[in-house]
Amino acid sequence: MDKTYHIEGGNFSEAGFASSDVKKLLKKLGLPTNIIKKAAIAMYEAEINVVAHAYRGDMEFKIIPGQILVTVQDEGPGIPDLELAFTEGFSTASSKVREMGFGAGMGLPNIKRNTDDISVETEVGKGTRLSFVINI
Amino acid sequence: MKISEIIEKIKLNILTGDYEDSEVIFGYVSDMLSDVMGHAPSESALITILAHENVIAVAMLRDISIIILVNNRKPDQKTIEKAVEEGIIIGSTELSAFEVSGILYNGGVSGKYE
Ligand SMILES: Nc1ncnc2c1ncn2[C@@H]1O[C@H](COP(=O)(O)OP(=O)(O)OP(=O)(O)O)[C@@H](O)[C@H]1O
Ligand SMILES: [Mg+2]
Repeated sequence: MDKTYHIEGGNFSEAGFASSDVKKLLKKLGLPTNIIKKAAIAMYEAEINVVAHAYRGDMEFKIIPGQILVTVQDEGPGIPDLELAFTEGFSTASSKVREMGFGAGMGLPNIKRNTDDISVETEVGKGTRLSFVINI
Repeated sequence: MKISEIIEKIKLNILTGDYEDSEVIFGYVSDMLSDVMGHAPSESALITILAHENVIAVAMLRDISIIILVNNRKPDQKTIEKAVEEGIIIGSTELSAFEVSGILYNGGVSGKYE
């Protein structure tokens, strides 16, 4: 099964739509709740990062036997220091974004904690491609 | 605690209409969405000042059944509509997060850091 969602940077009112849609699908498929929980957390954080930090992107979701595969590719500023970005508490979120409850610097650490494999390719001034795997 | 008991004890003004009077076992207090996302126990009551519609997506994704807005915070109509759509209860109280937590804790609702 394969699904692609478009994500618009700055559109906070639609943020979370893709992850919610996938969660409903996983529930319908009858996956174990701990797997659904991990997928929901990781997908939401990846989706929100495009909305909060990039200009636009696409999230591709795939289920193959034994694995959930997600790739989020965006056009955006890229991440200059990946190690710093994955440090809990580090955030460059604007004050406007913080007022809505984002900017704890916990999104990327949440993704890491809830996935079995993760890879990030990023180019400053161009964009970021984040992929992760959750074993079922 | 039953939801009806919480409503009575903290004078919670329910904004989403009819609700199922289920049992609340866990609670979590936070005003940062990725903290809720990463660490709230599943199916807990969320105590927060965040009345923005993004809190509904987080509640839906983490199976949070009730959002308790403290300090008299009120969500806008769109947030309420989204909550109703997802079957999430939202209420507002004049009490602070500290006061609400104390009352819920004394009533048997517990915390758990996940
Ligand atoms: N897709 C992205 N494009 C550009 N920068 C990003 C992207 N994702 C993350 N970052 C950078 O990495 C930092 C840390 O990201 P992380 O998701 O951990 O925290 P946050 O988004 O700032 O806050 P939170 O996720 O807790 O609401 C961001 O503040 C931002 O500087
Ligand atoms: Mg983030």
